[in-house]
Amino acid sequence: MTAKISKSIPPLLWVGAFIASIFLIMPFIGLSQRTPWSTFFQTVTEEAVFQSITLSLVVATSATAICFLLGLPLGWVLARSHVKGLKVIRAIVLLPMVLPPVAGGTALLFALGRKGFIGEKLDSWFGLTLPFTTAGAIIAATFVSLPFFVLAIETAASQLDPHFEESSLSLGAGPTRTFFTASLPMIKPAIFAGIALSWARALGEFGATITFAGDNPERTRTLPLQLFVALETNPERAMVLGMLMVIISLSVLVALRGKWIAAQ
Amino acid sequence: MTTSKNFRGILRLNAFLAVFSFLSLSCGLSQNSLHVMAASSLTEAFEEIAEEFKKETQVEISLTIAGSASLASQIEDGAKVDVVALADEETMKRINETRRVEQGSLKIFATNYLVLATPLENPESIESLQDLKGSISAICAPQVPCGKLSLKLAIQENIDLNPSSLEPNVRSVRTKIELGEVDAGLIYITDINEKINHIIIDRSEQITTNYPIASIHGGKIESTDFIEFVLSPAGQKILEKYRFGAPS
Amino acid sequence: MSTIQLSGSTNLEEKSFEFCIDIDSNKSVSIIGPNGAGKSTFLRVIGGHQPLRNGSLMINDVLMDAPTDRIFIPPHRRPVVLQHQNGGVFPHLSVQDNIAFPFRSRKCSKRKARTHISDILEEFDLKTIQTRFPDSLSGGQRSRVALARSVASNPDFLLLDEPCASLDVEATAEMHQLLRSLKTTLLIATHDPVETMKLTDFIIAVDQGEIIQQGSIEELTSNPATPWITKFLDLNLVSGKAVGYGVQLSDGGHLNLSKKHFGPVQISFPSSAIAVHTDQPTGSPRNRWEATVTSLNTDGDLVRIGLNGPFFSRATITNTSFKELGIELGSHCWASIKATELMVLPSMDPDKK
Repeated sequence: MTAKISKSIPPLLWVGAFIASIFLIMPFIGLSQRTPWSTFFQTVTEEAVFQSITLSLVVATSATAICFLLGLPLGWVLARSHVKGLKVIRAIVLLPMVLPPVAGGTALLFALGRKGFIGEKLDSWFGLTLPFTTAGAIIAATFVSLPFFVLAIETAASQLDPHFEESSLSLGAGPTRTFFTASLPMIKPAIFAGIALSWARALGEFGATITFAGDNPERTRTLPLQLFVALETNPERAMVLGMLMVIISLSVLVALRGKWIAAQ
Repeated sequence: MTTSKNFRGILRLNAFLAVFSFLSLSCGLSQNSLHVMAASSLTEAFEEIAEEFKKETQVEISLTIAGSASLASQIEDGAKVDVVALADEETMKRINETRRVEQGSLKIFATNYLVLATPLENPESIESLQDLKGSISAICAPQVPCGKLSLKLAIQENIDLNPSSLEPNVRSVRTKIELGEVDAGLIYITDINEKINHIIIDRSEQITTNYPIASIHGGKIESTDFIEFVLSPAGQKILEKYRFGAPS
Repeated sequence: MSTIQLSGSTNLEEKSFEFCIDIDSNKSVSIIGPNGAGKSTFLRVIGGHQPLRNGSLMINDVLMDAPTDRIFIPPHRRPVVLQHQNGGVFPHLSVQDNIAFPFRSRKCSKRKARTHISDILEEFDLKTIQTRFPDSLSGGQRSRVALARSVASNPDFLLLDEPCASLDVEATAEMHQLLRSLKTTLLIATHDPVETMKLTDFIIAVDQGEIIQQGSIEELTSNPATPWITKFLDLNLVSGKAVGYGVQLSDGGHLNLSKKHFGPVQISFPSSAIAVHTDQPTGSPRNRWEATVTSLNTDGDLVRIGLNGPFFSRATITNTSFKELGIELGSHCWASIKATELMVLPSMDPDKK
């Protein structure tokens, strides 16, 4: 069986695939070699590091929850609606994926910062300021990870056979009921994939966070920020943190991807 | 058949591009150029110095600008470098532990000190360090020289700074002030501009940071010429233009 | 009695469709026509998945779709169910949950729903697989689930879009038997003449987005509006019980097969395969029977002959041979067909077992 499959792949692709894999795996081998494993646990449980881990989990999970609540409707509408101007929206939605996160963070400052056109109102009406707060870090993380979720939903929704939804309608379920009992369960794999991707992206978020939410040791210093600080002061800690992020992200991706495949 | 041909073509092209870009990157520093690493606060001053130096000696300067701490990490990891100019002596000592600095070449070439900066409109009417209490402020993170200097200043003035954000470098402190995201911040006198308001802190000038320059062991012979140029009246004049203090 | 009154047009992918028809629940209907003629669109308009551009659609004397009056009743509030070709069985629900779907949609009480579901599982022989998921079912089982689910919705009209298109011969026969046993009025879009003849009494023929002919099978066969209809209906269908090479037909008469079969079968053969003779034929054909000419139609160079013998059949012969034979209405003649021309379809009809 395997031999059969191998035969149908041109050898040149094998070479390319091999180089690509090595290229992607190499840095992690380097990192794991330099990681001081003997002090790994001790470093991870240091108060400052532990605080960053907790904060990162809170930020990434909150951001993913917002992605789910907002990204699901957006992805669905993008896939299904034919309203004019949606093409422009689609392009803008994907911007945070290709934009340098620092640019994203700057843009967020202009909108939601203290002097930003929305942030100013938030400040004067509700006394709410987002920069230098955990909420700000969550917003920065949401901003960069939302496109991943939207894209996952949009792809799944546009590939979903419309016959299933028509059947549901025909069998007496209204559009809302159809959405929740037929459409949504059928794109469950995509939802899991979207959650995995946006969570992992939110966890790794650095540029937009430090630009928009700043670096505050208690409120906004997530793992990547802690890693950045450690890189210049305590390289050993940096390696431990880097490895820790690899382990967390990898386990989330593997776990959710496993579930995704199982669901299919 | 055609597709597979095209495909191979694309693969070859890719391989070619990959190798080409790799080579061009690694050979980017031509034999004739001197590789200088300088702290972020030196950006404009060193760009001008590099230009003047080239006019005089025909030696091209390839400048790498980053925070002092980042530069130190890069140098420790074996980055190719001839001359390094940093914003504090402590970091230079750190480099000396792993890669030898030519001891004779190590010189202090400039000094700098901190000022209190606010947005132009100064919404919280901040006039002194004491006014920082309860306001939203930013300083440099303690791992970079301007952050160390800020903490020294706070101790001298016996003030709890309690900043909202520890920015990775002095320029991002300034940006946060310019944008009005913070009410005040501590920045170098050399980093002030017309978009912000600055207040000289009474005894701040007593706490200065010294900018050391040195050539790294195994660097080019022209390193000495460059360091001499920075210390020469011509070099010092450029630094003075950017408000750097002369070494004492 | 339930009724559908449709008179209107719609546009789909730059094609326009115009339908004008009255249907009542007394007879099951086949919608036939070439690919892309508008069979599915016709069903989709009635089901509410394709809105009319102008005109109106009434079901049971209630206006369902009337663009000029801005009336459009959405699919879930129409007394019809449209079942797609693939059945549309939800992959994320078990067999019983699929069948419970219409009850849950219509907010039927749980207790009531449970008894309904139980009856339907029984009726469609799904009890043994009720907890399984569609992925683990055969194509035939899946379409049985789809049909059971549609029936559970208790529609006045069940709209079926090529219900057997993806099924093998056995599953098709099983499906046909199930469909015949249903009390619900069927509207079937089909490209299978056997389906038309077995399951329905009325034909709507569409072509290029228009209804070109409607009527009973006899009416369309004796006076087809287009060559396509002629070709589509150019088929004889008889049923009986096979024992080895022989088949005892249920209408009387006997046919010889080229291969062994056992049990109830249906046999179809094109009308052009029948040879007509004035005297008892001799020679190779294994099957021959005496018949009376009951109808004669000329269609260009061809003549279609209705033959009443032990069973009814239609023959098509050339004008030249018709003239040579010299037969007319009421004439006695002989018909014959080669055993190799007979196509055997297994039948599941219990009354013929």
